[in-house]
Amino acid sequence: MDMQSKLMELLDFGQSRSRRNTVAPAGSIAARDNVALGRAFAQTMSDLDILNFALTLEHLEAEMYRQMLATNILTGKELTYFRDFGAAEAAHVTAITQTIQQLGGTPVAAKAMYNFPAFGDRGAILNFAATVEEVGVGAYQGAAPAITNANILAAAGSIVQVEARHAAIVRLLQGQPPVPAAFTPSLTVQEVLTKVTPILGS
Amino acid sequence: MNNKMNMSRRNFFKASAVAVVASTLATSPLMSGVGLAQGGNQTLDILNYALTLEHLEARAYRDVIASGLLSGMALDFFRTFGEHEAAHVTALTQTIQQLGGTPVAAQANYNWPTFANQSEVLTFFHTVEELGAAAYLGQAPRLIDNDGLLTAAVSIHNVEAQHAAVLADLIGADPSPDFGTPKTMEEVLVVVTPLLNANVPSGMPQTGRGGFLGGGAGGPSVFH
Repeated sequence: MDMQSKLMELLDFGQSRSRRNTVAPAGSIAARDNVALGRAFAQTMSDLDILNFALTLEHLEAEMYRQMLATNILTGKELTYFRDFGAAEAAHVTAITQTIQQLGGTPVAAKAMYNFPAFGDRGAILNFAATVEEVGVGAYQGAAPAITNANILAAAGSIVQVEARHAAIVRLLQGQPPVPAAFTPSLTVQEVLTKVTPILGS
Repeated sequence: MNNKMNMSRRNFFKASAVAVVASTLATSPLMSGVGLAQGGNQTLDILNYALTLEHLEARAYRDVIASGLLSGMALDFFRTFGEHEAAHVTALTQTIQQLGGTPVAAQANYNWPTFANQSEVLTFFHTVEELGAAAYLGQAPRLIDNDGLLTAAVSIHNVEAQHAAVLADLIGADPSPDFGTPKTMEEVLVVVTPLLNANVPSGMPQTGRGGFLGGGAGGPSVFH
């Protein structure tokens, strides 16, 4: 079963489980709180599930930068940054793959193809990179509370920080406010899947 | 650009983010008393440590903006970043109060270095923001048992790293390593104690005070 199917299955399980187990007094904050529900779902994922979820995103990002660089559209400082960012994503792929193997798990492979939009000009490249990096930040941040191993949590933290930096710098290159808020938002696994499934394809 | 719109958007983000942190905390086990017995004091120590750094950052931005050394895009960024740090101060202060702790106060004065120009300002703030990101990253695994606080800490940590990245770009430094590097409380306090001009809060490691009290031409080389 590939990661996407597994996550979808977990998602169904997680939602029924969270409804059963987080029964809160009617009207309480927890009962109405989607964030709490999302967290409850993420808690049904093991650390290995989360690592493979992260690896799925890192594969996507690494390949995205590779294809963006292959267009030879970017120049100067932007080219330097995108080379660095692509190398960072590749380093994340390597690190997470090794971690999964050390834990006795099976790392998900990169997809043979991704449904990226056409990287036809600088604007399209920056726009898509900004979107994907933001998803990366929200995904790691949303999954962090579900991680049970402190070392894996520390590693996830050191990676989410880098995704956040990438997002800020790409926005800066776009002429957008690079740090638009005092807190970065979390995404639930379901929200991340909604955003990345069209890119991951079938 | 429409300044009024930007301002209201910023205020919205600030207000909503504080609400998110507060509501997250309201649903955390700590708020119902569960878990306090096994780590309440350590949690409050971590939060007051973070608040100490946020007070320093918020005041640093405020003071340097008032200095008139900055202009153009850098000044715009500093205003925004300063608002972010002020929002972090508010969120951490409220969180500590909700947990029954006493939030550490900002100091009356800080020992800022003397800045001759914008470039020196940018270099100093880049260092401070990198330190902030490293400090949060160092503490995050210690919050593993509290989902709400961990999420808030990761979120603030990301913003500190984003500030650092933008400042790095402005001074021509590398905006992003492949992996962030954590720092322990001791490592951070060695660097910030000379700036604090006073005692660090109780419960926090006292390492580094000697360097400050010793005075002299020293001080952490990172600021020179």
